[in-house]
Amino acid sequence: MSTLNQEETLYREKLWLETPLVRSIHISSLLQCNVYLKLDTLQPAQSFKYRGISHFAQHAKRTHGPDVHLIIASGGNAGLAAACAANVLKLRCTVYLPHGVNQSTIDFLRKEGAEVIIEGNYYLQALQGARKAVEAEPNNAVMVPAYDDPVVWEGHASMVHEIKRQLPEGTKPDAIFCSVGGGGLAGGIMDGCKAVGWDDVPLVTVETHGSNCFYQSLSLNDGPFVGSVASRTVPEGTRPEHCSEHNVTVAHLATLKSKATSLGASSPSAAVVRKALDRKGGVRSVCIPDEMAMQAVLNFAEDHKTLVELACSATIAPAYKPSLFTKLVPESRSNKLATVVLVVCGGFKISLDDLEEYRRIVAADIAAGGDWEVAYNGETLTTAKAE
Amino acid sequence: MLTSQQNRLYPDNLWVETPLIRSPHLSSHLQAEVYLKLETLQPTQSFKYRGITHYAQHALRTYGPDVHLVIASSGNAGIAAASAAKILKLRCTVFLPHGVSQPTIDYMRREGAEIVVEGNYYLQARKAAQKAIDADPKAVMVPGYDDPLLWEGHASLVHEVKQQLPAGTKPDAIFCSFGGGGLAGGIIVGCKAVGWDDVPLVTVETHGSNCFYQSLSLNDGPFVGDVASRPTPEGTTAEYNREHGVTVAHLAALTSKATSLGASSPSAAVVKMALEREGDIRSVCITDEMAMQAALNFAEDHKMLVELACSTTIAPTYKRDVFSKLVQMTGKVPTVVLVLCGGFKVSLNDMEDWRRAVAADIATGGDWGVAYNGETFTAPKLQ
Repeated sequence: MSTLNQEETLYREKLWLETPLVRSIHISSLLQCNVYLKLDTLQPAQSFKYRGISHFAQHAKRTHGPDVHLIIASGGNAGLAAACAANVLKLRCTVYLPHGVNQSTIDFLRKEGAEVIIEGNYYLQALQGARKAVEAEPNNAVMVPAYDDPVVWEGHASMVHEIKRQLPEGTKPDAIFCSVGGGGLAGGIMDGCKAVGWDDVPLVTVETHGSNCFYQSLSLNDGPFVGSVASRTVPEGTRPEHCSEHNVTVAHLATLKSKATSLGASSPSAAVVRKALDRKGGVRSVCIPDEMAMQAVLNFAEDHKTLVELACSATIAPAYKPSLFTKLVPESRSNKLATVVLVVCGGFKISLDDLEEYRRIVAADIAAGGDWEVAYNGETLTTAKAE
Repeated sequence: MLTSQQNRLYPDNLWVETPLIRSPHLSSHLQAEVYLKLETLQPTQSFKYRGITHYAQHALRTYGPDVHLVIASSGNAGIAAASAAKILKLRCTVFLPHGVSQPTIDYMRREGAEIVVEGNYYLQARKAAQKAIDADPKAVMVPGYDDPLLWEGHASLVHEVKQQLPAGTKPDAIFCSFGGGGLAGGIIVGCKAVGWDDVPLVTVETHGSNCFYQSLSLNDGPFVGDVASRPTPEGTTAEYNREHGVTVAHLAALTSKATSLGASSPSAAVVKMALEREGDIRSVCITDEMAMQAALNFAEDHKMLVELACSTTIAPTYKRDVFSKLVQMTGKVPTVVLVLCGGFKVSLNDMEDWRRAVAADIATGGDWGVAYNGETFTAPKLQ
């Protein structure tokens, strides 16, 4: 089946939008190659999550009928995606949130008709509340998964089909960049690449040092990291766990310290880690400091007049550092024809106040001197703080 | 998918089909279906890219590859022209007055344009551009807003909107900003082409840059009362344009911070089209502060930074009292389309300035004055 037919069949009744793939004049000029932005900020619910989660919701409606009750535990964007999808599909939706989620997110959830239950101080407690609710309605309630589900990845994968059609005819990216929280987006991108004949396209995954469960998981396996597993130390607070189903070792992080809270997963999907280790194009796993992501938020706002969360700007941050970028994508060195796609995953949890705060933090960090440390497949690189 | 009409009109268009997204925030706020046409996503980040690339391609076809595109612009038109020229491999010179921000100049340079900074005001840069045209037989002036080719290019956005709305939906109103009238001209032309000549057009300006509102006031048309009863503001001269049979206002000074609107007089042809079309023209003027507040709200809701000239379009939808005067709210749920014209000339510093300006203005108490087709009413400052 041609990929076009495949796309049509899988996504015939899709609710998400085909988002623009925009060539960034600013970033392309900086890096002297072709840098494209996949603007999933423009999805309903304002993040890529709408793809996989609306796909899951449609699947749930087909399987369980129109009375199905969608339940989700979320700190924000996944809940919004579920609420928006449920609103369109006329399904009941309940979102369990921990305390501390900001009012504008709660208002948005309610605007979309979701019931909002605020429970517990941490995500895990909200998740427990959601699980209890699902158990209490065994015939009707379905838990909407945040990132670890093939139906969700299938929805996210649609973005790769679009990118292939949207790039100039016959262009294959030299790299695709995306953020990794629990791995839902990366899983979808990898599945999508496989479907369109791009299994060999390098995938650069970006996390922050303080929320890097995927990087740490890769470190626990034979794979793209330098040296042997035995030679790599397991950080304090990390517990390795072997998953026999997917035959990978996965890291469980005791705490998450990053301000990029939308990345916040204490462990990644084991299946997605497996995909990353198996694929032809490999994975280039990067971790950056929060401050570098903050600087990218500010730059991107000035260049593209778009506000993105830290979890999203993490993807863009390496592109604002030319010498770091050429280490991650050596294919782009002195190659004006190189093509790179940055998946701008979006997210609603960003405000002008946040940007003011980031400006202050970045300025203070630059004043402190020194460079930013970047981890890349087991090695450490440095990048200059100042522009 | 292009209609055959679009294919005929726009065979090699350089602009992109931009998204039309439904705003859950504004729709919920107004209990209406509010759609945003995101011209912010054109390659040069404003709608100008449509008409100006269309004009540039026409210039190339007419004069050949040695044609030299010249434009006087302090911003978005200049960026669009530079970018069009780069793609079409044409020479381009942009004449700017002093004071244009470095990021804008850098952007034009990155697109390969030659930059000449001359004069303190737009008109002086315009004079310098004209001198360059007179001296160079290959040079052609790229118009800012007053040209049928521009309108034809801009009109493409209406064709897209028609296809993008849910099947068979006709907007109850289209909202747009009005500077010199290029965008409005394009929307009027586009509406006519797709059978929407009867769709009401709400044009929004700021009090300190309202040459269109003032021009409408000088003619028999949608304004209440008769021309004679409407006073001409101090600093405005009325000029009768014989070619189009309309009177046009010339403003001595523009006092608005929405500088991308800044035209001292509108296109007479567009004024004429506005008066002649079947659908209403609903001409609105708002305060700068109301536009600033809308820009701040829009940034929080939609995570996009827009210039004041663009948030001017959005501002009426953040005030239910204003919106309900402009669009009928009884009966069926109305569908409105806001054309977000975009613009590169907005920064995070601007947002900070506007936050302070709005807070200070709210602290002085009172309401914001809104003008609408010759009448005035107020909008509450607080949300």
